[in-house]
Amino acid sequence: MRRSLGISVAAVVMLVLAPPARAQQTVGLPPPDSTVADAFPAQLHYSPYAGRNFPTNVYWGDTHLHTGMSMDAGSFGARLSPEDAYRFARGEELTSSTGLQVKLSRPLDFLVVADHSDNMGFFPRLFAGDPQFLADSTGKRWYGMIQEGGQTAVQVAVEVIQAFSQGTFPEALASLPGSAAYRSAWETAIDAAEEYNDPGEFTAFIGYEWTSNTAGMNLHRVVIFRDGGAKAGVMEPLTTLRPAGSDNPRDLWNWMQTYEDRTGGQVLALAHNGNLSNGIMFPLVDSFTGRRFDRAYAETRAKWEPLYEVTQIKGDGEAHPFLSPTDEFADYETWDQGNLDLSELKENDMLQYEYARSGLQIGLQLERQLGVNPYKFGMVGSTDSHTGLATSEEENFFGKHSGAEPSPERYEHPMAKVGDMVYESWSMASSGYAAVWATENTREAIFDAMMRKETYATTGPRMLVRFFAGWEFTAEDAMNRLPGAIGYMKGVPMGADLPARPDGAAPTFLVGALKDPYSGNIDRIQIVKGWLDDDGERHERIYDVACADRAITNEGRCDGPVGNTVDVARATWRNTIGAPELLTVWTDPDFDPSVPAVYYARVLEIPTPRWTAYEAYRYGITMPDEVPMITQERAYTSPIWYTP
Amino acid sequence: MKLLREPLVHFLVLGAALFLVYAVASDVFSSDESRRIEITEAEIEFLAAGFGRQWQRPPTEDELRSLVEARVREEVLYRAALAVGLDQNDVVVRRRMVQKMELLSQDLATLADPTDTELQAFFQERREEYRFPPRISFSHVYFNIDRRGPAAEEDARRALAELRAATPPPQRAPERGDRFMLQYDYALRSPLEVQQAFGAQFAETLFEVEPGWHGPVASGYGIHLVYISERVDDRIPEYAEIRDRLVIDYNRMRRERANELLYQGLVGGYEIEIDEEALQRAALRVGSGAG
Repeated sequence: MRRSLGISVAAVVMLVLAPPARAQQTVGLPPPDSTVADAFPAQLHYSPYAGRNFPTNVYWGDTHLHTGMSMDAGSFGARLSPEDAYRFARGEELTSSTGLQVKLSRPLDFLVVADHSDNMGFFPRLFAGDPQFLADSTGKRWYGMIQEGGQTAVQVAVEVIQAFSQGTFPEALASLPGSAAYRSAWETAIDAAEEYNDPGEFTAFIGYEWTSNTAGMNLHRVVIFRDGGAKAGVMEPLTTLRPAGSDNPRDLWNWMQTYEDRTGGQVLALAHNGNLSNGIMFPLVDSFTGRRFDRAYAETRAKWEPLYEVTQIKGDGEAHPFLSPTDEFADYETWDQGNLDLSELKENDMLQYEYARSGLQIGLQLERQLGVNPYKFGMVGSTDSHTGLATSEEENFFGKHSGAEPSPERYEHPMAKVGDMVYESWSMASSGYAAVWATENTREAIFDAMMRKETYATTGPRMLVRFFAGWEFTAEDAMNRLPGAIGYMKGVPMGADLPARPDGAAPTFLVGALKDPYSGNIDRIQIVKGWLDDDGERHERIYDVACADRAITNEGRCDGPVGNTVDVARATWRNTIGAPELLTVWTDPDFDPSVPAVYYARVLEIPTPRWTAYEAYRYGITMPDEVPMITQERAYTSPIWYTP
Repeated sequence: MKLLREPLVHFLVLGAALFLVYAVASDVFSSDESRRIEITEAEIEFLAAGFGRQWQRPPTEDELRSLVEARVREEVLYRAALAVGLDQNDVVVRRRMVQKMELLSQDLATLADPTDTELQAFFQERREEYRFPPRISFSHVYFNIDRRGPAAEEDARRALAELRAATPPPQRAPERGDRFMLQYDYALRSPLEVQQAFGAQFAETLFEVEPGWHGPVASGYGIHLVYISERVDDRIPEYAEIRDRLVIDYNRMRRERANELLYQGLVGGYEIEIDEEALQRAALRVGSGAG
């Protein structure tokens, strides 16, 4: 990756001696226009581009990371704590659980440590200056040593534990009420987030995962708090085992409502891995009762679940080739053997209820039925790593769990095995991250942006993506120097609804992408449209709206693939194809104002080496032919909805 | 291997296991005390409180009854499992207990808040680690190679000459180049922040030069002219500026040390014997096997 940066200016110029940018609408920018200058008359000084109140920054993070505090992660050997996870995310170098030095190429801006609420358990907390404790002579002596600090304080730990093991622990202390001497893992998690949250620099969110997994059907949700520990600590996370817990999402929403009522705080939930739910992530009927949904279901789901984690290590969940047979990019890191624990195999008719693209369309169908769209979600990507390490770059991928950290053998060891069924380690997707358009790097600003779905998912690279819709974007807007400014001025951003339609208008979109400076150039920008016909049937279509170095055909597709520069043997590629940025305005040519529609953008990079290629190169190993070595990374924006 | 799939084999293995459980359990249960499972008032209150912490209301009688039933069931199976030694050699159980042990010692190590004296000393020992990075403020003019082709570098050089010559300083310089989707102006950025936005080589170049116009400079996006308006040198911060961070780091150090000292304190109490020969043999086997 760095290789592509090491090229001198002259070399960069040499590399593009081929005729540049044939089909790009924006060849040779026009003279500076006055639109924005007029809009911001106060800024006609040297720096006319500063200081506006719409989000000008993308913040990068992982909304879903496990540490050694998660029972399953711990049993796989993860030793890193929530504290370690935050340190790593903000850019520090750590030693992984398997003893490898590890550091991110660039820090993340935020992190949600989301350990499983089940089996969080209790940890002994022997005393905290408790008066009852001090009443005992040994307790008092220990307390004194603790106050002294340093080596003396450490000695207490040894003494306490020896006292336990030798049965000489003072009876008066041992008989203190059990609950007082224990704290839940939840408190430990909150403490770590509070310590590392640094408004303006790094956001450490408090969160947990509610892991509803009845019969292996993945209905997992991550819960994220806008609040600090004072509120988040009021309630214990919801678990899934009855009667204290529940595996039904409706009960999770009840829990969330109770939390907000009780504390005045705010929480949101986001689901993941519909691909492992065997048809119950975005269902048409209630999988818990087998009956039709009611309006209350749709309202509560839409209220509490503004986002969906569309891509992560256990497979990409945007689209499936069976559902989208004409989409040549749909089969991306597909995991479709069965449910999470492979106790039930996949059948084709489950797929439509599992993937984001069809889920968005089913949402339109339910909206027709119920008056509210329960699946009106924005998109983020996250890792779901169980290593305490939020890695999703291909060249720096630490795997699903600590048993699958880098090693010459990892590709051939099953990531998980159930009977004869295997999740191969090589099939892990090095994916993804969450990008959030927010005004500042704080819990509040990022959470609020998540609530308004101004987010997008990537499979790892940090490309910048803008997506606006309105009724009056024109081709000139794609040449504007401040696409963000013009986007907010004339339209709505990703995650929003199109405003009321002026007579005779078709929706127009301003969409752009700037490459990750560390990763591949951009191949193309697509707009994926889903809609219902008059009979309520679902439809989808993909439009290529901006293509690097190629024309757009009459069918609305790029004229041919972008090509491939990957040298698999050396795990490198060259940015001699594709474009560093694409930006365009697109009008829906097939718009029917009488039916609802949903639009999102998908941005594709040029092909680059997959993590398996880096691993093969670095360890000098040859992997079997079935192991993919090349990937085409991508971003998915939150949709924009049109309702007649 | 085929044998393992035979239902009859499954049946026999299961039967043998159950027999073992009953045999051991009935032996254990010969004493009356160990047959007794008492759900006391304290325990019931604990269960009710746990429910209340999730739901913010006490459980109904039905809910509480099923919590108690679940508790009894758990206790019965737990005791039977202990009796047959199922806690032994279970990697999950072992790791969980190690984790608890370490958390306990960590807690004890950080119960007392660190004093200023301790923190000052901690800081003095590792001042360099807390050095604030240098920062620069800059604006840039972007030349898109994909759009301009080979002319991009020449265009950039020409624009640079004009910009340098202009008096008074030029207005709206970025418009001499192409549109850029990130920002045109950056205030007080560290090397890491510049690197994050533009790539490593670009950041390196910018931090090597003095304020003024520079370029062309290559980034992951193309070519830039850069005007550095301000540079703030790196420095060692004052204690008061970083006290909060020192507390976090000092406590982390105390926790790590507590775990190490705990281990050192305990390990002396054990006689540890490792079969060196077996170790050598095993290592050799693996070595030759991997050939």
